[in-house]
Amino acid sequence: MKQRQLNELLKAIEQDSSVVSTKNEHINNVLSKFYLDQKNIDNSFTSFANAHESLSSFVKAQESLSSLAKAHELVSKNNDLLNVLKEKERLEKRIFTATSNTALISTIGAAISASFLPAAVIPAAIVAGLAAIGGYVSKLKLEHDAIEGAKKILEQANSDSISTKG
Amino acid sequence: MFGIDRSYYFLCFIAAFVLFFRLHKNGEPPFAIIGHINPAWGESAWGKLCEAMIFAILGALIGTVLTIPTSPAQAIAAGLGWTGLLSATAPSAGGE
Repeated sequence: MKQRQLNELLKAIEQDSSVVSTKNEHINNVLSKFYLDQKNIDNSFTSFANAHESLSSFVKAQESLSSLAKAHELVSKNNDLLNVLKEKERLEKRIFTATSNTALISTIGAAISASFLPAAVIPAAIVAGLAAIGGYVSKLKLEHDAIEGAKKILEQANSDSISTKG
Repeated sequence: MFGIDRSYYFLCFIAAFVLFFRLHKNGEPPFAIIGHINPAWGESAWGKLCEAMIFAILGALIGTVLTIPTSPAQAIAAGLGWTGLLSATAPSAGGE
């Protein structure tokens, strides 16, 4: 009697355990599916972030390109004025070099001639003074003209950018 | 003035002005006082010219009074020395 009851009890336990293992398998399947879905979502999100980054880089590149085009347009519009400014800068350098060297050499010449030819001291000093003052005034005038030209170009650029925004 | 020949002031002034002009680097004067007092006026052409004149006149006075030159060569050397001394010690005209 006892043996039979024991056998029935063991059978029942075996059936229960098979049910539990089936349930576990189902849960495992659900969990693995959930994991795969989560992984796919993560991948999609990363791809989306990369796409967003690429898009923002593209927008920035487009903005830079449009600024470059505007700068190019400004340069081509004011090409003549820019050439005049460059020419003035070159002229200023040449005048500065020529007059400052002349003035310095005349001054040293005046100092040296004081021992040998005293009569030449004052004329040499006058030459040095005239060269220095003339050169300095020319340099300042050319600098002033160049600054005014640059201001005109900047004003033009500002008015262009305001009209574009407006 | 101070028993010094007037022509020596003139020679000292010329020498100071010539070296002041020669020592311009990239459009900046070697020494600037007006630029420190009023930068806007110091940047203008008239401001720069006045700066050079004031510098050379002061140089002529101080150089001759300090050295008391007895020959034209000494007066010229005093003017050159005054400009060279101040431009060597000044950091820059912009006061940076």
